Amino acid sequence: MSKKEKKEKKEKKDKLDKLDEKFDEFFIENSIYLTRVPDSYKNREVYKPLNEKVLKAFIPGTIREMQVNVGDIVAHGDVLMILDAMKMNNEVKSMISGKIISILVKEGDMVKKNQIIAEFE
Amino acid sequence: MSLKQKSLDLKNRMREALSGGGSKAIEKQKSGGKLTARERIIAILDAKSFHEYDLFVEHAGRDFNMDKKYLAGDGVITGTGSVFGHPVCIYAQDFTVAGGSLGYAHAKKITKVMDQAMKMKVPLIGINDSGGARIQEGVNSLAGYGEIFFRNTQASGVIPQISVILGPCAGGAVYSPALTDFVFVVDKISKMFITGPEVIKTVLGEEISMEDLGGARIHAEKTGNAHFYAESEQECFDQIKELCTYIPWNNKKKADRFPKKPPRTRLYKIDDVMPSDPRQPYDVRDIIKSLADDSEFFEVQALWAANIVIGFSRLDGQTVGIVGNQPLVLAGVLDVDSSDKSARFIRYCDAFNIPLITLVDLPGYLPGVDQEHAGVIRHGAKILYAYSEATVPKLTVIMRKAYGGGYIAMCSHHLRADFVFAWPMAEIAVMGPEGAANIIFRNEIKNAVDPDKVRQEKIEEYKQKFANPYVAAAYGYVDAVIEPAETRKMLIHALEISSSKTVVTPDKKHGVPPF
Repeated sequence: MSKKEKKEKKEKKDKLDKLDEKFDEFFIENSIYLTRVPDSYKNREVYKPLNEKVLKAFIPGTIREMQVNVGDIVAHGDVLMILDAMKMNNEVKSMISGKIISILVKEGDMVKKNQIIAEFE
Repeated sequence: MSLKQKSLDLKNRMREALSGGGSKAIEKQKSGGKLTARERIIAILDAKSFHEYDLFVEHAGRDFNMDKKYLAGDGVITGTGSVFGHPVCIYAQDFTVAGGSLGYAHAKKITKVMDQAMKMKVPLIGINDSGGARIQEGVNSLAGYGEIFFRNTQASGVIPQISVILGPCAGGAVYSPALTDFVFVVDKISKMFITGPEVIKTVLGEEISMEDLGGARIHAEKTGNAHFYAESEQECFDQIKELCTYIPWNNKKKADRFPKKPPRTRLYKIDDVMPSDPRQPYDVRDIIKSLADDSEFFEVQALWAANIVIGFSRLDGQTVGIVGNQPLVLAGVLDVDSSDKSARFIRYCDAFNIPLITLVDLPGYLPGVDQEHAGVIRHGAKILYAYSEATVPKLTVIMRKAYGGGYIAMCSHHLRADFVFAWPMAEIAVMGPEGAANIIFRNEIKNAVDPDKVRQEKIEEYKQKFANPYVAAAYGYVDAVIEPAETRKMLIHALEISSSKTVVTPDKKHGVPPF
């Protein structure tokens, strides 16, 4: 079979495949569209508002120099611990003023990005 | 030495230099489905057209005992040749020689052939297969990259620059391909990343394979760094050659004209492709093939941001760049990636005198927090900028929906399209009937005894009035409402009329596009 014939055969098959396809429903401004919705869109991160009472690691790294304990009352901007990441000692500061009700890491722990490290009342 | 001895001496020197990194290294290279650097050049160029230079360049390493080492051609092969008779400059990094690492002399060879390409105004093809900077040469290898990046930028929009990733291309090295017009990758062979899996694991604790981090598929589908994806090196070389048939040698020339051919209507006919139900999707590539010579469409970035389709075809033998919304994927919406993808393509076509044809069928920009936060304002602006700035002939066909901002963005008259055609089923409006009726008739619907019934009536009323091409045509925003079957004829005529198009642009150094 020549290159051209092969191509035409593939084109014909593509055409038939498209006729059989079942499409997803996709809503925009109250209208429904039938279309393919790629997995990358279906699996996209759904927005969640920021919960200030939960402190998360903003970067992966290692916890050093824990400077607070459970029960401490801290002010907005107080340094809570050092997070060793990207060859830097990063100060982890409190985002709010309030009482710490739990600390989920200890010195030397490796943390992942967005891992919860402390919770506030 | 007699003349004969001198000639023998040359032969011996050449043999040594042509042996690359030696048989062991070459064997290793081949075992991974890879050709050697010189074989790759020969495979891309016309038979017997390759002429090599700087074969006897020696590396410049003086520290860490490097001065005692011989590195054939310093790990890169440079020269000139032709593709389908057109001259090109070419270089290929030789992984068998010191891992294709880039030192002072290696970079000097590349920049020399780049300078030649710019002076002679011919395309540049660069084949990347390199472990990265040659650490032993320190800041000189960094200087080498910098000199290459500068030249890539200077050459941008003057000569076509093609990058072929046939091995690792890591760290700073990735920025040369990133600055060029077209990047080709091959499955399982190409690897591109700034920091490799090992560094990522040490610093961030994230584990990922090289393939998943920066393999060919990732760059073709997810990052958009690659324009063409192939399963094998041979397929990749065929793609490069095909691309060369569509583009001109430099920005002062037009692409070659080919003998004209009608579309293959047995397989591709607009009336067959277009579904009668306006909710049904179709593959815009089939519309393109229904319009193009011999139904040929050479798609660029086929796998990334598939909700917009870009690529080259010919109309009446002349190369055209095509941008089409793809109703088959996400209803053809514009979003961050599809705006980015099409804007860059529009600027490429404009820089290289390739007329643009825009096929419109989209509900608008994609709503959502992720899009807003990913910067759909900034990225979406790129397509407006690129179309407004382009001075090549710009022809637009509104096929079905052209709503809201999407209507403006897709090369409307307002962005200086030369001709805008619309099909009878076109709907040019500020938004879809369902959305518009809910806003315009909000109170009437709310206060009705049967809101659903009134809503349906109002949607129908809006459809009758506005979901057509005639309101836009009444203001002259559409030049002609045409039968789909007439489209090819109209486009070919519009191209003829536009062939000497001249536009006076404002005096400026350069614009400031929303990069």
